[in-house]
Amino acid sequence: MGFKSYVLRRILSGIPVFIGLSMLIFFLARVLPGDPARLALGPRASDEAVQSLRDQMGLNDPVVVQYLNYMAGLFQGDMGISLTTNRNVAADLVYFFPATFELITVGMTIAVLFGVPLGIIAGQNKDRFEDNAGRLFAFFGVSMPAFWVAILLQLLFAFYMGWLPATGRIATAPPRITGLMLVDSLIATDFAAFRSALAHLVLPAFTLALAPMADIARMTRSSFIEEFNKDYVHALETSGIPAKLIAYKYVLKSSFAATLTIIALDYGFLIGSAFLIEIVFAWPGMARYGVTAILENDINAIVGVTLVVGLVYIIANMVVDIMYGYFDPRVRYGGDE
Amino acid sequence: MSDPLLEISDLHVDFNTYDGRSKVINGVDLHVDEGETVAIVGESGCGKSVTAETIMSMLPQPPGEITGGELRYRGEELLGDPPAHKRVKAESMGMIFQDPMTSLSPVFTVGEMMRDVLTYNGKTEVGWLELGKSVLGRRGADEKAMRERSIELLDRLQIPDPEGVLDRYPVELSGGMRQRVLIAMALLGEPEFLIADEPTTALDVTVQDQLIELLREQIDREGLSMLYITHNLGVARRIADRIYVMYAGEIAEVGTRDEILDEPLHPYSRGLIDSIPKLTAFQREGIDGLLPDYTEPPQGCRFHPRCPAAMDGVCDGEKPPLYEPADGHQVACYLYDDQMNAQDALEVAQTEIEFEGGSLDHPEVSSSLGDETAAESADRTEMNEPTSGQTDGGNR
Amino acid sequence: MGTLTSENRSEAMENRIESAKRIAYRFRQNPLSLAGLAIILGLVFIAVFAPYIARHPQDAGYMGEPAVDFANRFAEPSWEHPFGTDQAGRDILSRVIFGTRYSLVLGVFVLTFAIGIGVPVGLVAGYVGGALGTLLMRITDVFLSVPPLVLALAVAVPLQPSLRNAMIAIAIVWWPWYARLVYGEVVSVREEQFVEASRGIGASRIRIMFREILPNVLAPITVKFSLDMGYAILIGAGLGFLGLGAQPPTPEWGTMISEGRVYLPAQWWYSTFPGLAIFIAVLGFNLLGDGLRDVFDVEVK
Repeated sequence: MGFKSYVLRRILSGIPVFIGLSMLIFFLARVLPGDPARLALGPRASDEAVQSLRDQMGLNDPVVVQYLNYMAGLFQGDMGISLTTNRNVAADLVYFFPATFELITVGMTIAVLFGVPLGIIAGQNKDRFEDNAGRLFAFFGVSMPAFWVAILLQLLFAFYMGWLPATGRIATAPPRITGLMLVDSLIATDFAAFRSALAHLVLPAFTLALAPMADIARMTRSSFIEEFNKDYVHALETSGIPAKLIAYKYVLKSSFAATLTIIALDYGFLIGSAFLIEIVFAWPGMARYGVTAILENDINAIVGVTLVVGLVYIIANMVVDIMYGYFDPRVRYGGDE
Repeated sequence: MSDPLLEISDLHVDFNTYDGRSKVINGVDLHVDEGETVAIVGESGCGKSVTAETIMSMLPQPPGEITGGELRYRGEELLGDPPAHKRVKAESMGMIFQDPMTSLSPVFTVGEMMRDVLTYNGKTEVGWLELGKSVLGRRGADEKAMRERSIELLDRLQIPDPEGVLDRYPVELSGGMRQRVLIAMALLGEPEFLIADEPTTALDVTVQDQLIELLREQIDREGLSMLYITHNLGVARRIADRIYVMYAGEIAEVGTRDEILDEPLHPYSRGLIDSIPKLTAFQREGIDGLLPDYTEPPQGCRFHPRCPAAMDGVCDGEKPPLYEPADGHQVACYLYDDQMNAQDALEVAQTEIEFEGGSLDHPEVSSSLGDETAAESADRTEMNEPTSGQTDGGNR
Repeated sequence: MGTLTSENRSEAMENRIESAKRIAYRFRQNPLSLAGLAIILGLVFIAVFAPYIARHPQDAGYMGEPAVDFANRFAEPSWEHPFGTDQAGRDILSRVIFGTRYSLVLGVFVLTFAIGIGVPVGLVAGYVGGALGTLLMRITDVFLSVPPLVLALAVAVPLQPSLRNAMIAIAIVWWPWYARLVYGEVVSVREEQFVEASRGIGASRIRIMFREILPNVLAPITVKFSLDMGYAILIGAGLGFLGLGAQPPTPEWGTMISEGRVYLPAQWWYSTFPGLAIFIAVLGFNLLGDGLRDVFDVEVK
């Protein structure tokens, strides 16, 4: 079986998961106690008002019909009207999503770029100072609540030192094209805006990266050590291949495959943390939109946000799996080990 | 007599385990002459793999610890000089491993691995730029020559479609094919000395035979020296010039192939030979019992609790020295003494050593359980535990 | 067969004692896991004896509504108030001490519920298999396809924000992790000999599941339980921080950080110390879990 068919199979397998996910979220939102219309209007609204909102939202139809209607709308880019913004949820998400996407992408990139080398350094110095320091860092990194770290960093670097902006995304935004500030400012060749966007990104992205970074370092370390004790390393060594080449070519490629599975899991963790961190840094992203919706009982917005997050997570897992197949041929050949 | 190519003298290796300190290798002497193939034969867990690991400086330390002895290659002492050991290993030694499934990198093609062996063999250092190029798969000018050399070697090992095999991943090859590739990799670096650690155990019997034959041919052709480790005397018979019989971390007997197979002297060797299945008779005799506990090995001869000819007050006293009834044929057993000649010794062996029927410990059978001593499995447990510093000698 | 069984029993007992000794030995070899255990025991002690440890238990709502003392609001950390006071003049240290109770209860409740649902689901799916098994695991996969915190948020909405509902929301999204863990283990031990053997002598399915298979998954569950306690506390605090968990003036750590955030940067201590408490608690469970992972030699995620 070739790589292409592996990729295709993996992409197709994401579809039923997404459908299952949409059902789960939709039914959870309908089945759990609480009338969305009543919640939206508050306890003092008249019964007639609630009833007419129910009709308007289609809440009086059978759940299955509601679901099918919702899915039909979804394919036409209609996710229902948000009760807080009075716009279509889809339009809101298109507006808010890029900010979140930029944040989590930069965060994950930082996590991988620092986590993997940290893990390698620790793995190569097993039980020595570098390893123990790395382990301590890993424990701290996964144990600190992200929103608390966000507050501490904000206190230190924004309020006391004044080096970095405390909140927001950019000073003056460039014309919106992709919605990604870093990209848009480059397209507009506005380097001041680029610097500003970068400065605003540093603290939230680093905060977000901390826990996955620690986790990735831990995993890289242990898979690196495990790989290093495999027979093939000895075999390559006795074939006269230099240690450096074995470590950074052979062992690294194998152990990175193991690290990839952790990266997929951490991606989910990171999206979750983004919800908290966007609040602290007043980052105008989807998470903040979602939290506002939650506090306002805006059911359409909540379903929309959860769906998009789920979709991002599913796609991230897909990408990781495909990379896994690229790094480790055993996966795409069905594997016998 | 010229110096041997490889010489081990009075080697001691301990393992620190949960149960205590195991003396896994207890004073082993061994040498391999130029152009000679030597086999170490012993049951699973007797320390033969630890010996090989010591020679290849692959012994996991901790829990392993070399507490004494010397290892000389062409007269150069290596145990006290890790850089020299590393250099000699890279330049002159090659190893064929037991398990062809795990001995090839799963994430690179056969051709890529062979190319790296050809490119870097003998170089101890490699620059970062060079490394980057290699990771990105950039090929050098001599790519074509290397490919031809690889194909030629694979062809010599009777691998069908060698050209195609170069572009495949190990996962796409059968066990026998992988083992051949492994042999090719070991030969590619043009070593003078090969260690083969039970290279055929994981394979079918018919494939085993072919491989031994192929290996034999390659060794003869290149004039290599080899140390072949096996639990199977039948295999040793087919490949070795001389055989060391090892028991519980000590050499029980050493002699030429014919001496060991036709005129074995040590009770343990005789027991091993009796337990080779014979096609003509179903009845087998063998040795009762199991390898001793290494943390508290029996006093004196480590074999005496299982030995049918054990003598009270003698065998449980001091460790027996090596007697030499014939030139080069040495045996560590109190049944013999230095005054005996080969004929006397054989008579003693035939009259004194009598095994009772029934074999609990048939090497062929026990091999199916894998070749792991408590100590070896302990160190494997240790290896798999990235963050712990403890050891545990238990097979769970 | 009777004598054989009792012999086997005593042998099994001996083996168990022996392996327990080894586990204890390996555990003692790792100072970090001992530190983790010490932290957790300390937390339990603090939670149980909070009214006696805290200097101002009434500020944390002990025996009534949290007291207020506006004359004393926003006192900086001092000997009297080591962690300072909040906007109502309450002693933050006392509130942090009482907060231990909420976090531990939340963790234990969530995981008990998650294990109570997830383990049977995984056992059934793995052992019975067939269409039922496939269906159960498909449902599990769907749950696992959303990041836990986000799903917990979605579940928390229709319920009114409160600590109890936050716990329910987290528990609902947590069980699939155990289902998948157990499922994987069950599938790998299902065909092993001893299970075949007891099937041969006619043991019932339920009996096989709980007597033969379950003991094999206890080690990974124990490890995961410890690691997840930390994670659950983090998520619980996160919900509290978002205003979806315990409501003010409950002295829950995440809620306190959220309240304190309003008064940054001047009253830095308000958010800092409850966060420190979360950090230490989570660290304790992670250290212990990591140590247990080494001792039992299992990799869980």
